[in-house]
Amino acid sequence: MAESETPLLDELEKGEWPSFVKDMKQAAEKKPMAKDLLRQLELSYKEKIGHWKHGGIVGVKGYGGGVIGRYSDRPDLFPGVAHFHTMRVNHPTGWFYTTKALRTLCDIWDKHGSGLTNMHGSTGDIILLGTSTDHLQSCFDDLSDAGFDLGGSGSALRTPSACVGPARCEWACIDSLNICYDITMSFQDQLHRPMFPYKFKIKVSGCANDCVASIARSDFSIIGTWKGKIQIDQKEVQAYAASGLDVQAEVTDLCPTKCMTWDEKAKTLAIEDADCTRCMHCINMMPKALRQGKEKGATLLIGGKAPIVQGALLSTVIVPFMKLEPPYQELKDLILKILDWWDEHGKMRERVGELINRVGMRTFLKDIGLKPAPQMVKNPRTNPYVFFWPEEIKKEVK
Amino acid sequence: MSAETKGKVLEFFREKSRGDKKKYYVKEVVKGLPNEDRHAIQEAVKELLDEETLKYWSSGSTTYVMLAEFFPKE
Repeated sequence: MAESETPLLDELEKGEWPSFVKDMKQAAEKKPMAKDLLRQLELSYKEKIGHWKHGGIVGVKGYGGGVIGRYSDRPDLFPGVAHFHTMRVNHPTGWFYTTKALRTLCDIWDKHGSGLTNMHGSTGDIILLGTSTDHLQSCFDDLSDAGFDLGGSGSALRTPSACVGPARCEWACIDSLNICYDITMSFQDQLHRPMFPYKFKIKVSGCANDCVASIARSDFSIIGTWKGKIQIDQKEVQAYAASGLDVQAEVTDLCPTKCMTWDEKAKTLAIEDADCTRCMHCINMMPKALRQGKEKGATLLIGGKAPIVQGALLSTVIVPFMKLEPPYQELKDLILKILDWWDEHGKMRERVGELINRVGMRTFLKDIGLKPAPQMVKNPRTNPYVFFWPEEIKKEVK
Repeated sequence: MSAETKGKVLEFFREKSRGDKKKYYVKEVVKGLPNEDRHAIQEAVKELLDEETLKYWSSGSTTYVMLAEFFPKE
């Protein structure tokens, strides 16, 4: 039996879990590029060192992003991966594809690249792994003809993403799909022509369950919410209790603001809606019994990011409630204002959340023209003057 | 955006690229031309990119701009 060329990688195929090595071997049967990729990876495992060089080329004509340049530092050994650029393709909002679109995408990538894909990258894009410089433009042209566009990379607006929203979810308070699509189309220049201090991500979630984790993974989060009373169907609440749900322990005791009371004797649930933070826990537990309030809109937050350069940040509320209806002008004006402020004051490689941490939320709100609101504060602070300017306090004393 | 701003941006790159450093953030250009409007500088950079006098260089996460003549050959 012939000896394997990749004994170390073969080890990764053992065990119960699916292995990327198996996928790469499958691709290597058709593509010499994928074969060289396996061989280079084997060398990396053997020498315990990476053999990629990153950076340089950014895209196709007229674009400043969408392609991440990657080169082998051993093109003499692995000519198939001398160039192995990644193409980021803007995914359809909510990741809805027809099988025809997927087949077209794969055919294009078989024609121009390694055939290897990553569905999807952490921002949500379709990641096409491995092509050479001379194929970039023709691949882009074919993608364009099929209705696809490149996504964002580098110091630009990254591809906006959204949850499946009203297409499949009864809890969507906003049309997350349409908002995401509208933002993508409205901010094409910011997406394709990098001019910012660093990356900027926008994510849209239909409700507080936040299925795209926008609060942790985007600089600007749009999260669907409601105003007014949670609608209660007491008969359905009683049905849940009768079916074994411990309403006290599993619903009301876990309410973060303790705004709910469960009367065990009368079997009725009461909600003090003014104290509710609309976290959705009770609605998740009893979807047949509780519905969101009737007036729908979104909470806007700023500053989320993963730990690069500085540590991870969760977003902070800046607009507790905004009604979102096409053409979303108020929302887009606010985003533009924030982008411009960050562009002016941000240091190189400083995310907007880090900038706000540096100059203070008070300065940010004043510069953007937003009024401080109680929803911006997670817990009451020991210093009540956090949102006041010193001159305002003096004026009051007089 | 005036032709004068475009000239100043180009001059910035020519002057600064004499040393070893060739890649610049757009913010560095803005900082280097304090009397020019930030938006006008950005427009000038875009125009110079369209003309291919300047080129983007990206690490994947961060984007720089440099004179096309210094863009690394593959």
